[in-house]
Amino acid sequence: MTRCKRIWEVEAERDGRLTQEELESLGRHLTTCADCSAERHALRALGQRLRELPNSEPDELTLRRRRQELLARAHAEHVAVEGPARIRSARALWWLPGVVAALALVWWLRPTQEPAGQRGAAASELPERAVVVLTPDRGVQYERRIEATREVVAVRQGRMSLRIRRRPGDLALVLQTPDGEIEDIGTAFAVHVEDGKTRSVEVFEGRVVVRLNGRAPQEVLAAQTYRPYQGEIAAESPSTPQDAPGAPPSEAAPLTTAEPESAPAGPRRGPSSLAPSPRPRRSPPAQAASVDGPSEASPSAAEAFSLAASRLESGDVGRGAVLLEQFLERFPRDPHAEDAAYLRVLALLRLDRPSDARAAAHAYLARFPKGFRARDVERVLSP
Amino acid sequence: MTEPVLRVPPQVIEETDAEALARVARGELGALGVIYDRHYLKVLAFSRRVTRDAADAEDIAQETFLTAARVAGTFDARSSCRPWLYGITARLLMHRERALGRVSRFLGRFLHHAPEPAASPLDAMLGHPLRDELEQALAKLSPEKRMVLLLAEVEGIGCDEIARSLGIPVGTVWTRLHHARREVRKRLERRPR
Repeated sequence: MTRCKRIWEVEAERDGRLTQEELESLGRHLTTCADCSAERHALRALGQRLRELPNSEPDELTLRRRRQELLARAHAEHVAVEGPARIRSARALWWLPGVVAALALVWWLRPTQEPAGQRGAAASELPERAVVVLTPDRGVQYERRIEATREVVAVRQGRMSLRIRRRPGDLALVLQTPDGEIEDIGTAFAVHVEDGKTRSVEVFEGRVVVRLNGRAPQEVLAAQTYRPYQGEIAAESPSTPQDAPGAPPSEAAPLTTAEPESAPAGPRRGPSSLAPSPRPRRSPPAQAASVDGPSEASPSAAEAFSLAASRLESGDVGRGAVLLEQFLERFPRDPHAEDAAYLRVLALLRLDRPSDARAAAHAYLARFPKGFRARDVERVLSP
Repeated sequence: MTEPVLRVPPQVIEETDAEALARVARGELGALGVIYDRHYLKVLAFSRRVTRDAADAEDIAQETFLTAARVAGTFDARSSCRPWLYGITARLLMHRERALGRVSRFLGRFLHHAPEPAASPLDAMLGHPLRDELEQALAKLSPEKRMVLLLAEVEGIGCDEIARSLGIPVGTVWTRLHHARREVRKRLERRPR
């Protein structure tokens, strides 16, 4: 039995795709067409059923509590916005700069025994953005700007090293590259961009998180170098030292200790303190192979996880659980670690080993207290 | 004799969403409370319908408003910010779905049978499927289709507005809606009430 050819118009009407003329025409058609009338009724009924799905509302007390939590969290984050806000309010007080300048002049002209360095240090107590010391290599293309709640350094091409000191109240700093961004966690590091790709991220102190488009976030610790596209440049075994031929040639260039582009409101540092901490610029093979233990590109981590997962898929849950445990021991920082920890809980439940599953659940929560599946795992522990 | 009192009703000037968000962007966080009071329940309900998990839904709803506070300056002064908030929620939900999906794909063989749609992999593992057949049919939709269907049919947002909020072409919204309705109806027809 063929249905009315105009039946599509019923859905189009519902989605607001018809013109006034078409609507009128459909209205006339509906008075005579049983197919289209039934379709219209069916679509309305589906909408009605969807709206009637149970959806309990929280009580008033919970709502108030959530509201307070939200405002408290927003307030905590707002600390980072205070810098620009101060700038804006300063614009409104147009007369203030003149007064401040006059006072500053008086301050500088007054006789004092205070060393100049201390005056610089006093000024540094009012930072409006993170203290960032940029050391760009020759020819590097970059820009630096302040967006609403963060300071952005965008490197388009070339190599640049950064030393960042953030204090409470400083803007968050994000280093953007053409294919991703690097979140700084108070550190010194260098980034090299070439042909629109992040070729390497070297961390000298502290740690950074590298987020490249289409890849899992990669944490890079001090004394490590992350080369996300190394596999593309030269197909190397995981144990191949990172200095292998084929690495971007500019990486061999010595790190410049040129004058910083700017060091706003921060303690003045001599060139020596701007240079990265003394460490071999090229990681030894053992370190290179363990860029953050398992980088996403590291076949050993990926293979280990995929082997464990395939065991689970094939129904060999016992072996899968063992392999997951081994994976977690070997690659605790791998991006798959949370999945592995969660799957292990499920596997142990499946094996009917509740006490082991509870221990695994405790381990998951200790490691990923705010993990994606933390709430699920908490249920394993609930009586 | 008392003189008649002229009673003038107090003038109520309600701040628009755009004005409240502009204040949030200026750092006046009290205005975030205004936005919360107006839209939180709706955002939470949408989040619950998509996730089918009360705790996750609350987290996502909370995160939606925090994100809104961060990007308040980008609000384009529509009359209501609710579709804009839904757009933020949808992005957060997609992030969650992707994370859950990574694990869910291992569960089929793991459980020796295709898992029934459940609120989480753990529920699937423990054999706690969704009871309602319509919820099951919804759960089997891809998250993209599920969100568009819920926004259109439950929240009553127009296709143009959905497209704008999710940052996709309106044609994509129509296509997703069409397929979502067809898939849900097919599943419901297979399992008559």
